[in-house]
Amino acid sequence: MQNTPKPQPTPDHPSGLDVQETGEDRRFHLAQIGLWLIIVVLHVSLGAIIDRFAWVSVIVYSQVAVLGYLFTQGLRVVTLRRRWHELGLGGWLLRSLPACLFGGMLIIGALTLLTRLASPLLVRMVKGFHEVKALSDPNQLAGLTLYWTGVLVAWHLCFYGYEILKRLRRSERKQWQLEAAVADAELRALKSHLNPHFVFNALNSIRGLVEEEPSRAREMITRLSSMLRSTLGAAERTTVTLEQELSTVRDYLALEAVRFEDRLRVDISVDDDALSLHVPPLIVQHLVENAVKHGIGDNPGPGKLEVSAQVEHATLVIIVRNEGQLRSSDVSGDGLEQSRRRLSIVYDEHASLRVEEDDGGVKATLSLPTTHPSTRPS
Amino acid sequence: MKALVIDDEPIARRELARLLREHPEVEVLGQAGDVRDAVRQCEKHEPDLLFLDIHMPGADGFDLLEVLDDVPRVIFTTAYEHHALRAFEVNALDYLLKPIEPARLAAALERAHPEPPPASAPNDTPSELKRIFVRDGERCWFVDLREIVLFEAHDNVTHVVFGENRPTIRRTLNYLEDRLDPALFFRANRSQIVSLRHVTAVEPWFGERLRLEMSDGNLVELSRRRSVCFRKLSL
Repeated sequence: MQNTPKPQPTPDHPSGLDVQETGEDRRFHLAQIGLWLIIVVLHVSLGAIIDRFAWVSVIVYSQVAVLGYLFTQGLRVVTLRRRWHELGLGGWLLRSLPACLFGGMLIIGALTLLTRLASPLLVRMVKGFHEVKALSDPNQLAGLTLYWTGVLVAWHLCFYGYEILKRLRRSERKQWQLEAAVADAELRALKSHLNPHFVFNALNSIRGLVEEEPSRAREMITRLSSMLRSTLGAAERTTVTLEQELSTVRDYLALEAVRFEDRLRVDISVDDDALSLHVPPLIVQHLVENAVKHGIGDNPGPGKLEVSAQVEHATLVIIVRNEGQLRSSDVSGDGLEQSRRRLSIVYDEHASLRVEEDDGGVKATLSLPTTHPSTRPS
Repeated sequence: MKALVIDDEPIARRELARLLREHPEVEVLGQAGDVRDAVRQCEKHEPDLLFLDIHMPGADGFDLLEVLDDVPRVIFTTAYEHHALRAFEVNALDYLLKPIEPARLAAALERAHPEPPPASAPNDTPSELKRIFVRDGERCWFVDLREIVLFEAHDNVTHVVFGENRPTIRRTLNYLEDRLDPALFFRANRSQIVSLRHVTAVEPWFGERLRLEMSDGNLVELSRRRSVCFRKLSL
C-alpha cells in the first residue's frame, strides 16, 4: 500500500509521525480522486438509464467533480487547521453545515457561470438536456444546490469519522507505551520493597538479645545486614539463583524466630538440581513473608511453615505452605497481587502463582518454566 | 503506678520490662501475650497503665480496650506508625515506636502520671472518673463517663452521645444499666439512658410524664413508669 516503512511505535522515533502523515496524504489524494471519479460515473450512468447517454453530461459532471474535489481539498485543510475534528458532533455540524452549503452554492454557481459561457454551443448540441435546462430555472437551481450540499455534508461526515478513528488509534498506542514505562518503574519498586514493620521489629528484638544472648545478637545483625543488602540490591538485578534467594529466606526466618520464639517452626526442603535455577529476586521471600504474617502473626498458637522446591516437567515448582485458614484477603491480597504482576511482566503468562486451601493450611504454589531465559542456569 | 505489658512477642515484653526498671515508680504487675490473657490480668490487677501492642494475633489491642469496663491510661507500642493511630488525632494519645527510646519512654510516663484528685470538683465520685474506649469505623475515642450525655438504642444498635459525636458501641442498654452507677445515670425509657449530670431542665409533659432537656439541647421524654421513679429520685 505504501513504500515508507511502518513507523515503529516507540517514543524514541522522532520522525514517526511525519512519515505517517505523508503516507496518509498520499492515500487521501488517491481516495479523493477515486471518489469523485465514481461520482461522475454514477451520475452519468444514472442519466443514461433514466434518459439517454450524452457526452455533455460527462462534461458537466466532470466540472462538478473538479469543483467538488477542489472544495473538499480546501475543506480538509480548513478543518484540520481550525481543529474542527477535535470538536463534538454538535460543534462539528454547526461549522460543517454552513461550510458545505457554501460549497454547494459555489459548485452550482461556478457551473452556471461555465454553462452560460458555453451555452450557445451546448444548447444546440443537446436540446432538452435536463441538467443544462435546470441551470436556468431558479427552482431547480435551489434543488441542485441542496443536493450537492448534501453530498458535501456526507463527505465531511466520513472525514470526521475517519479522523476520530485515527485519534482513537493514536491514543491507544500512547496508552500502551505509557503502560510499558509504568510496568518498568513498577517492577523496580516491587523488587526493592522493604517491609518497615519487619525491620523495626527485628531491630527491637536484636536490642533485646544484646542483653540476653550477645552472641546471637551478633549473628542476627549479620543476618539483617545480608537481608538488607539483598533487598536494597534487588532493583538492580533481574534474577538471582534459587540458592541465593533461599539464603535470604533463611536469614529472614532466623530473624522472625527471635520474635516468635517457639511459635515459628520451619521446614525447608529443596532438590539440588533446583538450586542453580534463576528466579526473580525476592519472589520467594515475599511469599514466605506473607505466610509468616498470616500463618504465624495472626494465630496465637504455634505454626509450621514449609518451603519446598523441585523441578517437574521442565517447571520449577516452589511451594510455600503455612498453617491456618484461607481468607479472601490472602488470595487477592496486595502482596500476592504484586507478585503476580511481577511474574506477568517478566514471564507473560508462562508463569503462575496459585494460592489455595490445603488440608488445614494455606498453600502458595509458584510455577516457573525452566526453559525461559529468566530461569535457565547461566 | 501499676502497669501491664501486653505484646505478643516475648522478647519485646522483656525488653520493655528491662527499660522500665529505670523507672521505680512503675510497677510491672504482669505481662500478657494475647487479648484473652490481657483481659484476665486487667481484671485481676486493675492496672493504672497499659503498654499495649496494637497488632496481636487473633484480636488486636483495640479489641481489648473495647471489652474493658474501665479503661486505664494506655501507651500504645508499635514497630511502625500504625494507620490505626491516625484515628486518634483529636485525642491526646501516647504511643511509642519500637525499638523504644528511653527518653521518649520517660516523657510518656511523665504524662501518664495519674491526675491528682480534682479539688475543684468535689462532687466527682470515683465511679465518675471511669472512662471507656469507643471505636466506630475508622475513628476512636477515650470517653470519660463525665462527658457522656446519653446512651441511645436504635434497631439493636447502641449509640453513645458526647460532644458532637454519637458513635456506636458494642454494648446493650441493659448491660450498661447494670454497670453504670445509678446515682449518675438514669434509664429514661426503653431506648435511652441519660446522664443526670447533663440534665439542665425538667418539665411536665403529657400524661403525667416528664421531659428532660439535656446540656446539648437533646430532649428526652421519660416513660410514665420512669417519670414516677424520677420524681422519687429528685425528692
